[in-house]
Amino acid sequence: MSILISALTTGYSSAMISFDMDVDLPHRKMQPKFYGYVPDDHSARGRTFMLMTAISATHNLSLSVGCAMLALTDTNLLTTFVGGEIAVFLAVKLLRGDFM
Amino acid sequence: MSQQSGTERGELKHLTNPHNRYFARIEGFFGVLSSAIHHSMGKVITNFSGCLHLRHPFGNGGTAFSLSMMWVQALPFVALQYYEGDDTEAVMILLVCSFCIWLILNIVFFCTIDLDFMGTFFGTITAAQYTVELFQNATNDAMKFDAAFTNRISFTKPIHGEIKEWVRLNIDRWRLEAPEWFVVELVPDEFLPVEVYEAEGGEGRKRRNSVSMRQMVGLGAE
Repeated sequence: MSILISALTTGYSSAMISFDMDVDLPHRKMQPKFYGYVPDDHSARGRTFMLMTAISATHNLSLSVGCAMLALTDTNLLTTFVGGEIAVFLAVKLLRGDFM
Repeated sequence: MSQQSGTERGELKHLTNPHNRYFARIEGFFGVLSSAIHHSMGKVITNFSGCLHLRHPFGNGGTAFSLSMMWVQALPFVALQYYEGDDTEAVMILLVCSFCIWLILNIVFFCTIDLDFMGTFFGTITAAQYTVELFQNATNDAMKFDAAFTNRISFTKPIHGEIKEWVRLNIDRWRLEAPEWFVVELVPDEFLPVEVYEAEGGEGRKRRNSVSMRQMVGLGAE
């Protein structure tokens, strides 16, 4: 239950950040091609927010379970998977000239 | 008469707020360091929260974000192959249920949102390309200024000539009208016409970094 509540809290925070950024009028005015995916209709907005929260919570739960299993098996394995993914991400950014 | 309403003024003021910037306007070694921290933190946050906002080209980028989403769903199944506990079957059921729920939620989500923005979830545009696009597609000076001078200057390197020309043609008017978004301290020396550069104090002119301690601690604009 504790883990579930933590995942939901993470999901809620994540959804709140994304939602607030997207519905923010100055953001939509300045970057109209990026901000605006949240519909303008009230009920659709509420539904989108709940979906974002749930998606984020299940996403968090999946990775947490995966990391917990790797940590129980071998912490080096966890470091390799998590660190390796970040390293690949940074390398791709560098190769594409998108690092800074 | 170009009198702005209170709301418009608030929106324009918002543009020169350093909290809205993705990158600190730092170049050189500290720029590399801040980028490494920025991207690493962004990646970790994306992985653990799936925060949709981080699909922004200044963050992970659309494709990298979506690939992260899929990798996070695959990782537990990969981890399960290595896991040697007694409860592997129960964990497998949990993972399959979680994946199915996640998939259904995503389908419903994409049926709910405005699909004109679908491209932002799979875009491959870089931060620099996006900034150039923002400048060139801007419909007013506030948007252009925001794109050109509140992001890293190196992002707009291919269009520096175009930006200099735009500044040269408009800066006298901005100095006269003093719109709230126009913060001359944000404009690097090389973008200012010589006479304006001299009028602003030449070598000793006040410059502003994107990181303002006063604003960060909530003491308002400098």
